[in-house]
Amino acid sequence: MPEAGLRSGRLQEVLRRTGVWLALAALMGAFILVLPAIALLAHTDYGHLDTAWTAASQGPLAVSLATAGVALALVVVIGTPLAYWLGRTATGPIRHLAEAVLLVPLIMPPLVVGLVLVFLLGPAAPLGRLATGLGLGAVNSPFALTLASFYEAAPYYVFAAAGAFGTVDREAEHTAQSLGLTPWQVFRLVTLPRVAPGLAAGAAMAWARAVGAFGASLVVAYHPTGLPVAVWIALEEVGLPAAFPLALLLVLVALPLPLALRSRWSRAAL
Amino acid sequence: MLASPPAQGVSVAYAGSLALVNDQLLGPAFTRLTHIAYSGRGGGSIGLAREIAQGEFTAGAFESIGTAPLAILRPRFTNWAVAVAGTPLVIAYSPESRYATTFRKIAAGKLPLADLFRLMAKPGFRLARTNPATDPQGQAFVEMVHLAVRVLHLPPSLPARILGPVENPRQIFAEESELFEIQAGAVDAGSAFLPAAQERHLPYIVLGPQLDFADPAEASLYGSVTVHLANGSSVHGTPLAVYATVLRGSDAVAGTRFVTFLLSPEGQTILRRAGYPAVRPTLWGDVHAVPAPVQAVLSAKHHA
Repeated sequence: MPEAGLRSGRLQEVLRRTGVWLALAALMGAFILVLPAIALLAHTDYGHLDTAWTAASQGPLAVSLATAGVALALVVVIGTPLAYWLGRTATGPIRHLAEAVLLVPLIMPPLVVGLVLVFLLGPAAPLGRLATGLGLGAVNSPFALTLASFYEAAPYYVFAAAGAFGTVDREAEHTAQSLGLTPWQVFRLVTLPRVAPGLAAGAAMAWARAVGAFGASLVVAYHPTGLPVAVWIALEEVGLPAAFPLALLLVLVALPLPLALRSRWSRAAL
Repeated sequence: MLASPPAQGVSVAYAGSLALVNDQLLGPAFTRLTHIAYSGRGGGSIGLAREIAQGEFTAGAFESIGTAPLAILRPRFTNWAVAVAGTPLVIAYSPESRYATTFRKIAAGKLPLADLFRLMAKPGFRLARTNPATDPQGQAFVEMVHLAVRVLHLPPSLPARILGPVENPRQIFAEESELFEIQAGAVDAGSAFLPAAQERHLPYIVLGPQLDFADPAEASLYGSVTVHLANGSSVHGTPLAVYATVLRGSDAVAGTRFVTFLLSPEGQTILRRAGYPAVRPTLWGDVHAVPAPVQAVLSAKHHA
């Protein structure tokens, strides 16, 4: 017994030490990741805050929130079935091929995504003709900006959601099915609650990407000007004193949604 | 007298439209000739000047289109600049545009230049230009359309029909992507500098010295038009030559070598071959602030 007690004591000591090192490593990681935010706060000219925020609220803020919101909705609607198929149904080479294809928009520099979209939205392209015919406008339109945000954001959601769908315990679903639940009921009552934290994490990342989309937006939609392009124009037109307050506003308005999603679904997962 | 310290490398900040000629041609040739490593950074020249003025980055030499960006750097970073080449404004057009046949006839001189302005005023014509609030080319384009009314005897209502508001959201694109919009056929035509249109193999229409804003001899004509920007400021037309200057700081020695290279026969040949016509090396700002090596090249040119 004393030997067992000794072993348990050593284990606790090891765990305690590991815990301390892990906490230190986590703290260090957090510090490194938060450095840009600290620099932003340190270098923002707070005297320009009022002017910059008044200018932003006259257009770029609403443009960013509206187009990123629509882009996120499209990402979830289009991306969820795709993620389900990728995480649950697709196997072997088809799955690998699908993953490779979906990685392309993620790997392409956002600027290139924008350049490609200009071709897709051009008057000679079917999508461009359709968009113009529907009165959505081609380049320099809310539609173009939404599309740019969609392509920048979609892969983040699809891969996170596919990972979540892939880890669901099939036993629970089979049991529910054997109890007479329809496939839709099984999905809604058994699968969805289990994947919700993963979907929420994916949606949070997709939102952050959509609202901060710059490279593709700069090419396809200098107007209507969203916040990221407004930061760029302010930098070109006035300089840092005008650009950083806008960047701060972008961070502040973009944060609540991912935080709410994390908070709601992290608790649900417990 | 102390000898100048040896230059390790030169960093050059340049207007975005000069990217290819700087990074692909001038930079490598300068390094071959002087053994000084070259690094370049491009962007809207007004924006770049503001970034330098605010201490966001430093450079040894600065090349701008026109003198408006140089005024931002005055007097702390520089007090002078020299015109090293011209940059004629042209109208580049998409070969896939529904108006391509008309564009080709105007470019070939089979139809008068006035027809181009009447065409651009048509409802539904898709025009691309750059932001007049941040880019000298964007300012010059607006000034050029107003000047065309006088030079080509067009109706006074034409500029409003062609341009709409000065900062028209339907027409303004980022300087970095505006030509690509023409290339991809997303718009019918747009503003371009001659060398940039040539680099991208885009067909274009020449506007002539009175409208291309590249001839210092027409400075008073260009100066007779003014653009009123949405931020309340007004900008008068100036010749859009490539102006070069040396920025004060640790890179000034290498910067001076680079500017003298631009004025040298080798530099001028590269610029001319890239589509930048030679101009008289007109000085802007304080003549006495020009570094001695640059002064020497200029007086040699003057006596040649």
